[in-house]
Amino acid sequence: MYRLKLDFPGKKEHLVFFDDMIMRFLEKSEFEAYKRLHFVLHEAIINSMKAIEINEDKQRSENIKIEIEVNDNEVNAIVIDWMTGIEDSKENVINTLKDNDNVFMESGRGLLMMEHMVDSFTWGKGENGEFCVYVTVKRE
Amino acid sequence: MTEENIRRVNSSFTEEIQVLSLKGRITYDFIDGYKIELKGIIEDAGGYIIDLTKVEQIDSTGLGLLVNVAKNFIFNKNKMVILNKDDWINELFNVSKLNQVFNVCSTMEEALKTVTLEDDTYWNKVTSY
Repeated sequence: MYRLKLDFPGKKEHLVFFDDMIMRFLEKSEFEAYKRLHFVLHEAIINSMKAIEINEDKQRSENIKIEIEVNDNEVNAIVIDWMTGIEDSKENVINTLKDNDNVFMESGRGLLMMEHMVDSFTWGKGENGEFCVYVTVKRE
Repeated sequence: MTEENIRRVNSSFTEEIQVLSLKGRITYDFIDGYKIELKGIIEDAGGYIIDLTKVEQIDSTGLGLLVNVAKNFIFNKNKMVILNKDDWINELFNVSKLNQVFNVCSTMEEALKTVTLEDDTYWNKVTSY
């Protein structure tokens, strides 16, 4: 089993670091669909960064935490931030995006791509109010 | 040289076609730089080729940038072709369905041929979506 944990300030200038660490880890763990998972985690991270960028509540932690676990059967990952997150359920958000699906749409493309690329993708609040994005990919 | 000073978009002309070559990461952290550079570099031309052959990574904000560039060209009745050789970027075009409206070519020769097409093949693809 391979496990990676990152806990780092969610600043835009750190995106290269997040990308680099995740890519190196996924390549080392010999996970076949590493490009797809890397894309999905990158999208989750930039969603967190966008939320942090507009955050005015300085009491909230502005870190982003990432945990990835690779075992023989699947890869599980969580991206956590301490912002308010998406209030609506994943199903409602995705269904609304699908209803309005248009290649020329201004936003929402990332969530639809994430949904398409992994076996399971959902979000919710954690025990301490943190916002969590959960991703699972089954191994070949 | 700071990151802000590195040029990410280069422009050249092949006859009346403007070739806009993007390089590096077209991602959330660098997207503002691309927007500014593209705004200042696009000239009147008989068609446009967006060359992605030196792009290392692209995300949904980068795809959004390409969509906005394409929308502006289509609005002004200008043709735009994307030059890409990377399988992963092509997969992202497929997943996002952008392959349905973008004309993607794998060689410069093919891109030049497509962007200078006199028949309606190009516009049929763009407007039939």
